[in-house]
Amino acid sequence: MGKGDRTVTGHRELPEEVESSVFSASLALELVPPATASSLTAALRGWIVEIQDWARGKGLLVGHVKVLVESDTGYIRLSGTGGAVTSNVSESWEPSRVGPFEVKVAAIIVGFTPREFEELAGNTLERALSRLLPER
Amino acid sequence: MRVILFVGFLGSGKTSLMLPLARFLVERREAVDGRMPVVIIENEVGDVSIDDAVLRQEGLSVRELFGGCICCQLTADLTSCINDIHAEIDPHWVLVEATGLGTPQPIVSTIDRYGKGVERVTTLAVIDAVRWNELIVVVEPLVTKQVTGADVVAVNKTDLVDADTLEEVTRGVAALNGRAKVVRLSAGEGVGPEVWEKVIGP
Ligand SMILES: Nc1nc2c(ncn2[C@@H]2O[C@H](COP(=O)(O)OP(=O)(O)OP(=O)(O)O)[C@@H](O)[C@H]2O)c(=O)[nH]1
Ligand SMILES: [Mg+2]
Repeated sequence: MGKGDRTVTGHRELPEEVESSVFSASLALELVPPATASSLTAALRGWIVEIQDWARGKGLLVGHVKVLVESDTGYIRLSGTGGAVTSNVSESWEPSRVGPFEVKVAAIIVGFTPREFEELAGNTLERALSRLLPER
Repeated sequence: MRVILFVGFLGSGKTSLMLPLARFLVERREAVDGRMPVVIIENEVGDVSIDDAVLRQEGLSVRELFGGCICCQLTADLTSCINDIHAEIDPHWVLVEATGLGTPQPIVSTIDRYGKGVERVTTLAVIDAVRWNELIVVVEPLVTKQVTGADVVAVNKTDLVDADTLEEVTRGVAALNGRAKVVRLSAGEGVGPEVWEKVIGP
């Protein structure tokens, strides 16, 4: 994947009412050559869809899967609550290629979630972003 | 300072509604006295904060509390956050977004007991009209507490459901909490000032 900082966390939260699993990650990236805003949007949308499909397959309730991409020049917001994924791209970004950016993601799944969830969420994210780079 | 506490299940539209409410409050211009109109406190599930960045992009002043829930683990952090805001800024309004897994009663009691300079707390529960029928079964205790602890219930995403579903959701909400004001709205399509007046009350 591109260069940059990377923090990934996964943990279980147990408030009094509902058990849930959380995967969250924050990555500072620069893709070389840069991706277009629309291909970056499509890749991250694909990540949300994969997680939602996985949860559905396991009979788990999707809490909220959300993504924010930010740079000095624009943003992309994506969100899914189990069904259709909504996206919002800043107008300034629509046509252009995206320079260095920061991507933050959070996926919250409700119910007892197998350990594989955090690994799956991390791996699919990495794969989705790697596909934006040219074949080596 | 008046506090509006947003509760409601994950993805129900709390952040999406907070933005236009903040804009409405800013435009209401109570700020003729020079006090800042609105400060927001964001509490998020997980270790990265996404909603606070979304709100900051819109030029709003946001404090974040993450790594736990303000209804259980972070009550002391919530208290010091509110007290700092009171001491440093003393805005007219503080909007607090709880996590989608949080319940209002412990948060309100923390603010009532320890929050300095708080005149009143209004709890707004946001309901995703699309998911009501599913959530009221799968996470029934949580959704029930969110609704019963609310002063106002906003049935959101009305653009995505038909009239019958909307009636059913409204009836379900009223059956749980007959005391709350219920408003139906869509953050997606925009919320009129008369609805916000109803939400914030006199
Ligand atoms: N169509 C439609 N979509 C909405 C509406 N309100 C919110 N959404 C979408 O629902 C998703 C979740 O909205 P958020 O405002 O992030 O929900 P939230 O309650 O803050 O979520 P968490 O903070 O993660 O619990 C986003 O994709 C919004 O665009 C609405 O009235 N209509
Ligand atoms: Mg939110």
